[in-house]
Amino acid sequence: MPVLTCESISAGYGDLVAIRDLSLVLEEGSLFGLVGPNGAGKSTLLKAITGVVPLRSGEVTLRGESIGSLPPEVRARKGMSMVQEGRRLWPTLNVRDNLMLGAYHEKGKEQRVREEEVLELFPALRAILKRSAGVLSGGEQQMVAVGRALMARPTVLLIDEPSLGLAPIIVDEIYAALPKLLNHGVSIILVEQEVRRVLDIATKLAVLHEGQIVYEGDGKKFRNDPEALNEYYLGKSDKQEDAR
Amino acid sequence: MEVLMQVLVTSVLLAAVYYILSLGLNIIFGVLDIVNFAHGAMIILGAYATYYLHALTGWSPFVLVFFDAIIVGGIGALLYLWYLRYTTNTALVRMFALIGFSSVVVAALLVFSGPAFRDVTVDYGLTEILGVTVRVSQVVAFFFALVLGVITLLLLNHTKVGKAVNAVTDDRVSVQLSGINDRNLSLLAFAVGAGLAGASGGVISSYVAFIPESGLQFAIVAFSVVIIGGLGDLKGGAIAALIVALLQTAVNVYISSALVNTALFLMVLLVLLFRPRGIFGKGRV
Repeated sequence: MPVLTCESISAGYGDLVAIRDLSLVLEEGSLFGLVGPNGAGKSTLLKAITGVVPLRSGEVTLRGESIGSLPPEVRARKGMSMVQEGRRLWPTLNVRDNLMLGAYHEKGKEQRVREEEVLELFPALRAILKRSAGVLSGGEQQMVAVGRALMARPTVLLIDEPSLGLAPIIVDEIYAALPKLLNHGVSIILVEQEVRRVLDIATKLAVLHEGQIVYEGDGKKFRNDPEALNEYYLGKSDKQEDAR
Repeated sequence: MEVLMQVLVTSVLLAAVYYILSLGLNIIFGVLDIVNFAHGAMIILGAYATYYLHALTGWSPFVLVFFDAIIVGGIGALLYLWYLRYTTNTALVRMFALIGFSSVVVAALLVFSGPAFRDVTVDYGLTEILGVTVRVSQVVAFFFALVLGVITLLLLNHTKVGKAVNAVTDDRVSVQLSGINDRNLSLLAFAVGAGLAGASGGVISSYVAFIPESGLQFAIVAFSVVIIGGLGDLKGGAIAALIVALLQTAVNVYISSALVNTALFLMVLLVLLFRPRGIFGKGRV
């Protein structure tokens, strides 16, 4: 059952159209991997879905409800969370405050219950709850960023480049948490440069090139033939091979 | 030695007032990225609110400080909702919008109240601190400013809404993506900043007579504190308030009262040249 759909959406900045007439469907409880070269429009797509970048055309629906014209905070309250590229924590606040503000509209007791859930997922955060977010390592920051997004108990979680600038061992830890989230009913769109990691866990994979999806399928094609992916990265292959 | 003690004690008493004079300016800049060029107008509105409320009720200016905060905070909220929100996001347009508001306030006060000095200074007599004779009203003003400053910082750092306001200062998009209405927080920050300016005007009116144009002088002090402490750095502002108070008092006592502003501008210039992010380097440029 589709939980999130984008229908022919376009978005951009000024004269630049970063996303053109793009459509995608995120099924409930699935992980949709989105890969592509720098400047393909991956981050812009996530920002357009969350409302940070306004849509120029098209429609976004969450559980069948049109949300394309709503401001980001309303979309978030309807069940959409995002972990931004570069983590984007609040550096002057401590880890606990970063997490708590992720569930801003909940009462203190409920916030503490959710905080405990996040700490079970990322036990390393327990020891640094009172530490200022601005002094954390990149890995710790990424855990806090994912944890903050989960505090809202989202229906859909969008994650932008979680491995960027992190040591492989830390990335392993972050990626180990993602299947657990799927088991809890969270549907995920994961944008990533490290294609291999996405191929390992994605239910569905899409390759984005110059603002358009040039391949959409289950990713098996590339597990066995990594060279084929380069074709899509460089924009040499035509549209989608697999029917949606 | 006696004169030095006089300078030190007077400066500390003055610093607390200077801190709340600048606190509203700092909060508004931190949250909204707006340099509030109407800050002086808001301070003087607080002073005039004290004058007329005092004439109406006979209450002490110190009691009226809280009413000043509510009145000027309310005006600030309306200014933001009805006017500033609709100016474009360019700093230049907002600057002129706020300067325009200041001009309207000063003109309205001149028409309504006239150009004569208004005086609600209170005389509670004299007292001694560390062997230095000071006015009791100065000490009361110090404590009022201290209480206002501490309450504001406590609310900002230890309440859910206050933390959200801090979060907007750090990263507005992350606030939106967390389901928090950042526009409401901006409105709140502007109202609180204006309210603090009004309250500081009330405190100042307890020991200085004023005219509609006096807001400019208060604004110079507030801007100096904010620049020296670092734009948006509330802790740096506290130390900067003490530095400005010490500088002004020392120049006044040891050199000449005519050179107080010159010394202040020189210090601001040096900070802008060598420490553009403020003395602790934590402010924004």
